[in-house]
Amino acid sequence: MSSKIYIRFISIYFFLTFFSSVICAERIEEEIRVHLPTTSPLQPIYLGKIFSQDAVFDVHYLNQLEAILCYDLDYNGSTKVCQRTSDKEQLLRNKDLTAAFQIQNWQSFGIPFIIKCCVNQKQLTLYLFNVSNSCLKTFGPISLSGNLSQDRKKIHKLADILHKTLFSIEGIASTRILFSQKTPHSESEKWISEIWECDWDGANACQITSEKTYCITPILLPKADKFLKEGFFYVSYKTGQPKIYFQASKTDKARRISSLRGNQLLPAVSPKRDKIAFISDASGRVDLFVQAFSPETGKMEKPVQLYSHPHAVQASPTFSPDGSKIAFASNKDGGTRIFVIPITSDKKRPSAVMITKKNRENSCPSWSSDGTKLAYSAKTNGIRQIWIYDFEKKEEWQLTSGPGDKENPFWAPNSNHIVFNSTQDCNSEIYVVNLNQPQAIKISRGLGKKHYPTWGL
Amino acid sequence: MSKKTIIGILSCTCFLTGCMGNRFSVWKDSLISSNYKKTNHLWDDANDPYDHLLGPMEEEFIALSDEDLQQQFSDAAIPAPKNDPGEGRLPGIEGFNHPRGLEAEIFRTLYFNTDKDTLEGKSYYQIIDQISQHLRKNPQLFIFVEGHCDERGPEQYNLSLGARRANYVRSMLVQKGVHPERIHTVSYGKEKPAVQERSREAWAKNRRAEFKIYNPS
Repeated sequence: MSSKIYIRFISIYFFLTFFSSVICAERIEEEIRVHLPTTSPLQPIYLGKIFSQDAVFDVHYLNQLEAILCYDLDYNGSTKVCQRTSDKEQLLRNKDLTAAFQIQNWQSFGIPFIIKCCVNQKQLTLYLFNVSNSCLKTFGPISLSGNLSQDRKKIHKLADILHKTLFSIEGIASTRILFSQKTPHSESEKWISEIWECDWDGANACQITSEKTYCITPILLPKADKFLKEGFFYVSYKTGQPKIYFQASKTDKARRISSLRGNQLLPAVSPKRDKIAFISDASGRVDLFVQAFSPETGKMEKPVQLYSHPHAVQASPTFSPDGSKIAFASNKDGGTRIFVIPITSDKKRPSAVMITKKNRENSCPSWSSDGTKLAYSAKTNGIRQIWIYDFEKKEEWQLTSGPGDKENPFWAPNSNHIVFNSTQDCNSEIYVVNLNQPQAIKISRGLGKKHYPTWGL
Repeated sequence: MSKKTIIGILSCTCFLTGCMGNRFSVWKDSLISSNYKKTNHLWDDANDPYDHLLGPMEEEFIALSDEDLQQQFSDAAIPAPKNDPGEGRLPGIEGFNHPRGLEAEIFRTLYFNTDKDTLEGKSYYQIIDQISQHLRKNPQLFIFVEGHCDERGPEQYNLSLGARRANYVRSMLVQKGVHPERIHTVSYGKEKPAVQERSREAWAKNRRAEFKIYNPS
């Protein structure tokens, strides 16, 4: 009798085990399914070789200019440069533009946009042919100087005009990236950190502070049409404690922004350039402050303690595009998460809404200028990766992958590109990525730890 | 096995499962509050002649008025010194030196647990006691408390965490009778590790508060 019960029990057990494993397997298969987009958001574009007619520059120089334009078109997040072929080059070699851009010749290649560049003596002219409507547009002629740094800027500007023509959106090839670079000081053998500036492709890198101390976390004053004042904020340790300074240009003397006591760290500027947010321990806690200011008159209002928590660390403020909210990192509820608060002036701690919930150790948020997204760094399988929080869908998704701790993301003015630093084996470099091309491009060169990148016009 | 035993086991299981479901944050809050209780106990007998330096500094910034931020000594918040180093008669940090000789025995480095901004362990409070006694005996001394972190945390977050660590040590010294104007803080985040290696031991040595001293005489 007991053996029968035993056999029944065993058979029921096996049946249930088998049944549950089948159900679970189906569920697991569902969980790991990844949906990949099958269509690329990038428009193919063909960039022909530069044709030279009595050009005063050698082939090597023209190749360098060509490579700059190719980079601008390849990583602008909207177009992808197609591989060169002899048949297409043969078509473009035709001096007669009508013959070169015969629509029936180009339709078969399936490339919507064709670019032909010609250099005549010192003048660069660019022709853009839209295959879909058979429209030919001419850009230039642009005077080339023969100085690569100067001509590079002209090529970037041209790339931005092309982008605006094609997509009615401002390009970012003429924008600037600021970052801090840590190197050993040659005389004192101490490590120092200065602020550097470079083009969006990492070229033309030059040091813009010379304090021979620790200068970190630069942030560019956003440009505005009606205002002329330009410059950048940064944190300097020159008096011993970190304080926020503003410097108008490379040669200008930096001036302290706030007379607030204690450590001042991690400044952020509102897109309307009327407020700065920063972290300060003036009260003895590490709090989030906001201070109204006018870059034109230099007038600073009294700082406002916007957020404080007795037992929490606050860090990394970033403004919403309209300047009414601030996102920041805080560990007030345990692990470090990103919170959003309204900017109020009623002396009451605003209610903070936690927006990132998927990962551990969330840090350094950056609000996109269109207001729809927030980039931040989060620990993912032991490595810090860049994640995006979508305000419209209320979803978080991972942008970067691979080795190297990626931190300090900052949006380009087009709300599509992000600059960040990645640290591997104690070496930190600057990378650029865009939402349509998740393969990040390293833009920094040379020795030293490069970090805290920021993007601006 | 009797029915009573089975019911007993089931009830115990339910109870324990319920306990496991307690939120991590609740555990962390109790941990933090127990730390602060410890420090409050240490501060019970401290005389406070610095009331005029504490509380919201309305002349400098518009302060929040929430009650939990007004309780002095409950959260280790002592406002930063009014006089910034390097801008008045006090030199910048280059004028402050690492403690040497007997002072090196007193101003010992304090070490923090991972992601913590409070000290755990009696030995640290003994060090704080010794430092405060030395500072009270030598009223001409000014000090810098440097807050450091290990390399594992995010860069920006570590700058804030380093500031919190330095301020925690500063407020403990103030509670022990040292004038708050004599203690400045600086956060380096993870920029200045004491040990360059990547190991548990190295990280433990980098999560620290160090001292620098200025002796005008």
